Amino acid sequence: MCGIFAYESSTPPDPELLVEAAVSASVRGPHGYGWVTRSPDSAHHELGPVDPGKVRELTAAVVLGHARLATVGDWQDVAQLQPITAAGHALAHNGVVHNSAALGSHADTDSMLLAHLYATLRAAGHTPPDALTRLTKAASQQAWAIVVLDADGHLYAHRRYHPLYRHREADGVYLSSQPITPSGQLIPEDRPVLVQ
Amino acid sequence: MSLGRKQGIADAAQWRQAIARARELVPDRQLDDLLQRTVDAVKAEKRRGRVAYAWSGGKDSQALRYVMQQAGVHECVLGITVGLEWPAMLRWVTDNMPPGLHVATVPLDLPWLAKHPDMLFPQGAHGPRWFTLVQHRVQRDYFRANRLDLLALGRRRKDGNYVGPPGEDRYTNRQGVTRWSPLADWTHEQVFALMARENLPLPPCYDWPRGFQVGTGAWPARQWTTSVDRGFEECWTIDPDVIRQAAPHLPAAADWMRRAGVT
Repeated sequence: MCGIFAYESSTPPDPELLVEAAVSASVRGPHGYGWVTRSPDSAHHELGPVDPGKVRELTAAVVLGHARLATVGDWQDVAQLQPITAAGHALAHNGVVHNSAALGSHADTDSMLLAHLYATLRAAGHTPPDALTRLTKAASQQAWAIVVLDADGHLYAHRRYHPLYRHREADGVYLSSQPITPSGQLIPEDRPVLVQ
Repeated sequence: MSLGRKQGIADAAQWRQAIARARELVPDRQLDDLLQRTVDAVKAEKRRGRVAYAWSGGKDSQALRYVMQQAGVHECVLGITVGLEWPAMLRWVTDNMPPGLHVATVPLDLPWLAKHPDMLFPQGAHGPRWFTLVQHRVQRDYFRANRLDLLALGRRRKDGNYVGPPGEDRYTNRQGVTRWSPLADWTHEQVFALMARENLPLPPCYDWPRGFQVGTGAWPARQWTTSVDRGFEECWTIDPDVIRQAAPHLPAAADWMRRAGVT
């Protein structure tokens, strides 16, 4: 299991809300964490539980973060932490892919396979929502939450069963694995969602 | 037929028989009455204070989860080691975890186990030390961090679990943690009847050797293996990669692989 947190707007996030979102992800993924941001662009991956102090310093207008509980691969391998980037896209995944062999053999984890498959679908000309739909159809999963920070600069989400809440706040939209404000609503299941 | 304590029943066939017959032995009306009483008790405690529950994915834990959700309690905690879990169990937990689950790790991994060889398949009275190291520690921290009044557990007397002093279903330890066992008097058959009726999934560990005797937990915590060698043998049949990855850290694992002629 893993946790996901994210933020999208045209201005920096409220540090306290972003920390709340990150901590809500962290309770589902204690092995390691990371994020990818846009405007300004940056990436960070680190073993251990989420460090709220480092999250509080983020000033990017778009953030995709992840907290990992390693179910596949080496829990101490920083390279396996998420979000995983592929061809300019970043992907955060909560779930288990049960047909990894059918999706390819060029990655150490099932989440890495998903990231590469998403990039391949986008390179083939599919829109972000279409690529997400095809991705979730190709991957055999019982439950999932996937959020992509596409190279187009926007966040897209797709989930079944696993929780992912969207919060529309004054400064922007926050995603988290648990509700962090009264505005939190579970995003709809089984269809791609443009987060903003 | 009524099953006794799980520790005395290694034969999976008896458990399977109990599961298959559970709904015959426990009529729906009886199960509904039991559920209603248990859910009402949880609701009453919820009105009095902050309640959460500990979840492991095991059979009693799944029954407890159903009861707690019916009572509107969704917050729960799972304690695991940072690097000594069965990969198949982690995958199952990922697919089946309650939405309100908090996962907490304790820093126990292969280098730690190499320094504490007495914790490799501990026998007899030493077996429960794993519970102290992992579950009790995580539950204590979760209880304090969330200012709980009660932490509900899936413990049952029929499983040989301690649920409190005679006549009680709760106790407070020296650290101030109050553990409550709402399923204390449920029988195995009642748990199985609920699982069958509500299609509650069981994790893969019950299909492994002595699965119903051992239940959930880290792989070196397997109890009643009778010897370290037998422990490695069992683990090898479950997932050889676990032993292969342990061998560079644990001389006992490397030695067992050499003597067993496996690579």
